[in-house]
Amino acid sequence: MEKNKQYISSDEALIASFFAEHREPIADNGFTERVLSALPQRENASWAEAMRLRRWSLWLNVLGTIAGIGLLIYLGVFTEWMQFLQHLSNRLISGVLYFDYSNLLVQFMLFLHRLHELMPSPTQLLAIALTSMILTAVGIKRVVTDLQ
Amino acid sequence: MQGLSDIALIAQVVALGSERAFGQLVEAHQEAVRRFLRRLTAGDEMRADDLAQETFIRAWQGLSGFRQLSGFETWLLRIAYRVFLDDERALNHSPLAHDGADLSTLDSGAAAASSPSRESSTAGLSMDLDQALSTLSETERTCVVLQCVEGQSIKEIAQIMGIPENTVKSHLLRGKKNLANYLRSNGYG
Repeated sequence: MEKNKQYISSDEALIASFFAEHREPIADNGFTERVLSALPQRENASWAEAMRLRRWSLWLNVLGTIAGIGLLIYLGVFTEWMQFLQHLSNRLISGVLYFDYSNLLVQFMLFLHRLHELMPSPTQLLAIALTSMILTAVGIKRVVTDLQ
Repeated sequence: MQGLSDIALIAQVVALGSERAFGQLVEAHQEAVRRFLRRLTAGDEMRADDLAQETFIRAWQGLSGFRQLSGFETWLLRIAYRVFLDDERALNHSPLAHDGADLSTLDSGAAAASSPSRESSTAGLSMDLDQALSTLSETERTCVVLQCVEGQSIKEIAQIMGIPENTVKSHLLRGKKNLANYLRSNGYG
């Protein structure tokens, strides 16, 4: 067994030295130019494919944005965020918040606290995650099918 | 780093159809593809370059299908191997092939490898790379060249040749043993 291993390693060394000795650099010598001049026109199919993919991507983004905004509204986060912005702008306009960064921080912490109260239950989160995964899987499958 | 620049160039070719970017890819990988094909065609430079050109044309046409499951060079070598096999098949079916004049790159190497007397008759001649490789079968030669010349891993060789990794391992073991025996019997090493 040991002897066999020695043979294999000596074979490896012999072959490695043989190939290293015979390694020849191959200069381009106009090869690239010849290839470029022989290139056929790219098929329009690939562009059609790219456009189809872009269309899918666009639709998925639109649906994702609508679903995201819908989810925020459902959770009440959107309303809370709007109230926070309104409160902030009122104070800025009235000059109360002028250079008062600590107040801004307190308001933001309050917003985060309310956000925490609005967080969905673990069951709701699981349902949302599962739905997202299914939608993503369906989207990916459609894109892969389109590619094939 | 090479992989990153390849991906950037591939993106330009696929998205914009940039011939300039494709030219840079050809320039970067022509050496590996041409060297691989030269070894498969037993040093026939003209045939190897024709096959290399066909390889890059097929790559140009199918670049949008490159899924980055392997490196770009491995993908190119896979195309090159297919182009070579197609050419071999065409040669085998052509009437000229049956004359036996131009079949040095076919599987006849397997028989030669098992008869050391043939090799010993060439002793004293300068050691030629393609002569040594011609003592291997086509599959053994391809495996040995991909690993020892092109530095591909067993997994990559399996992808290029479309055979299981264990089969690659056994071809490599047998091919290297035959090659080492040939080299020793010719006074190398």
